[in-house]
Amino acid sequence: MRAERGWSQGEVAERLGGVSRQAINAIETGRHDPTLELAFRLAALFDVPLERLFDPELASKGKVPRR
Amino acid sequence: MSESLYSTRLQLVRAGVGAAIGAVAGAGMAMLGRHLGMERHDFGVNLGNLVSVSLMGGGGYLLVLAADRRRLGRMLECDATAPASGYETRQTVLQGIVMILTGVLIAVPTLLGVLASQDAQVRALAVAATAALFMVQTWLNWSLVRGADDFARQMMLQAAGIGSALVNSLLFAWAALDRLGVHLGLRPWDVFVLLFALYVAASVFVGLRARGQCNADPEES
Repeated sequence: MRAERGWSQGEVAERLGGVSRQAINAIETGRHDPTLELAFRLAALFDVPLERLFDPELASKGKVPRR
Repeated sequence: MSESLYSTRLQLVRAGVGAAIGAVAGAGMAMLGRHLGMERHDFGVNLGNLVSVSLMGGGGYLLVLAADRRRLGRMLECDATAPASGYETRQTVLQGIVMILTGVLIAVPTLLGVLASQDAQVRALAVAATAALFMVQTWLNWSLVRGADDFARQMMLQAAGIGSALVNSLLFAWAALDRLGVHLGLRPWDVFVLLFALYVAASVFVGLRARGQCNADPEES
């Protein structure tokens, strides 16, 4: 999803503000579950429903359309 | 040469250089310790000085890293070409300052203790200086926690959890042995420094384990 937009982890962190790229990396590699607040901010940034961020099946098959 | 082989060789060269620097620094510290008569001091003072110097060195290293955003970006590992953001730089600088102040705070009671033992007025000043430094360090530490993102907070909680388990276990062992008539002869400063050193070790362990993995598959995100 991030790569589709051509964003680096640092760019995502910068766009969110107040988040380090290590946090983004940890979320991507499954080493960290973000808080609800950060999850909503991520969903808003990528303009997708929240569940699409965390369900790899939905994310890869695109079952849930973008809002 | 393949990239992975080059990377492995680079790591080995870095490890060799690090080992050489460590050996020279260690020998230097041992000489300095002998010169200052540290062998005459007890366990708590020597360990406290070691923790203090390590924290100040680590904090100074972070400040040097943070002076160059590109270098800091590489240290953060991922997207190595991207410089560190303002947020990442600010947090690193704050972390460095907190580490240095913590190192100073641990050194101060030992250093001022020597002076304060002579004179009641100097003792009052030493207590006031220690209290003031403690308040500044606590305030900056709190700023660091408040500004941390939830991943950093998770690491802090993990370190605190491991540290708390170690502290409880050792306090129990110490107190139980004392009740059973086995007196280790440890003083409050010895116990504090030992427990704090364990907390620092737990923080380093959690921090190293949480280091970024740059081969994350972006397709999964």
